[in-house]
Amino acid sequence: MKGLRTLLWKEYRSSRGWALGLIGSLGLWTWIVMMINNEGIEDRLALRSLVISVAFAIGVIVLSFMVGRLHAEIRRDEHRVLLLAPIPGYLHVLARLVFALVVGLVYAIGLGILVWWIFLQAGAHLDAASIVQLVAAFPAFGVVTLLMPTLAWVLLLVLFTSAYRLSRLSWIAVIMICVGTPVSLIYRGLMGLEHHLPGWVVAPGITGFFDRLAGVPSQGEGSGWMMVVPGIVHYGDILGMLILTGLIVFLAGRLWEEMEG
Amino acid sequence: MILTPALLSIMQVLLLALLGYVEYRLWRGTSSPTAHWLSLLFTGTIAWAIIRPFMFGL
Repeated sequence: MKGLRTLLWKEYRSSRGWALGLIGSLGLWTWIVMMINNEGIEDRLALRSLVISVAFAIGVIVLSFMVGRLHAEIRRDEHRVLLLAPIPGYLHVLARLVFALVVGLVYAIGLGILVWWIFLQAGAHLDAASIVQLVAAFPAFGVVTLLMPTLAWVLLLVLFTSAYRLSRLSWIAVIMICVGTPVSLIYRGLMGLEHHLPGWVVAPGITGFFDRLAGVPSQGEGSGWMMVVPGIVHYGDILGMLILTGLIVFLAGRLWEEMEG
Repeated sequence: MILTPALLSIMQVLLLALLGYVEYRLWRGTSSPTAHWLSLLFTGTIAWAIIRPFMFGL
C-alpha cells in the first residue's frame, strides 16, 4: 500500500497539469452550453446533450494521452530510478490507472452536474433519485464501463510496444494490437467480455420530462421506471469490465516486470 | 475487378503468410514471455478472422 501511495503521489506530481486542465475545461463546456439558446426546448436539449457527449469523448481522449505519456517516459529512461524499488509491476500500472480514473470521475461528475442544470433550464422538476442518477450514477457507470477499460488498454498498448523498443519493432506491435483488439471484440472467440451497454432503467423524473416533451402521459412512479441506484453495481457489464480491466492490468504489470528484468 | 473465390483464397493464403512472418518477427523481437503470448493472441485473432469466412462463409 505504501508503494501505491508513493506512486500515486508521483503520478499526481507529474500529471496534475493535465488533470487541472481537463477539470478546468468544464468551465469552457459550461460556457458553450450556455451559449446555445435555440428557440425550441427539444432542439436546445438535443444540441446541449451533443455538446456534453463531445465533452465526455474529448475527456476520454485527453486522459488516454495522459496515461500514454508512459511511452515517452520509458523512452527517456525516466523510470531507471525505480527499477530496483521492490514495487510490483502491476502497482505502477494501477497507480496511473487509479489517478486517471479519479480525474475522469471528477470530470464526469462535473458533466453530470451540467446535465442537471440543462434539465432545470428546460423546466424539468427532478426528484432526488433522478438527480442522483444524473450527477453520480451515470458518470460512475460511464467511467467504469468506458473509461476504465479504455485507459487500461492504452497502458497495455504502451507497455506491449515498449517491449519491442530495442528491436525497433514497436510499429508492428502497434499495428497488431490496434487491429487485433477490435477483431477479437467482433469475433468473441478470445475475449467474450465485449462491451454492451445495458438497457438502463431511468428514474421517473427524467422519463417523465421526456414523456412531457413528447406529449405522452407520464408513466409515473411504480410503473417499472423506478431505479434503485445502489442496484446498478450488480449489472453484469460493470462486473465484466472490472474483470477485463483486472486482466489487462495484470498483463501490463507482467510486461513492466519483464522489461525491468 | 471481380473478386472470384479463387482470388480470395489466394489473398487469404498470402495474408496468412504475411501474418506468420510478422508473428515470427515479433516472437524474435523481444525476450518478454508475456509479450510473446500477447503477440500470439493478437496475430491468432487476426488469422482466425481471415480463416473464418473461408471455413464458415462470410
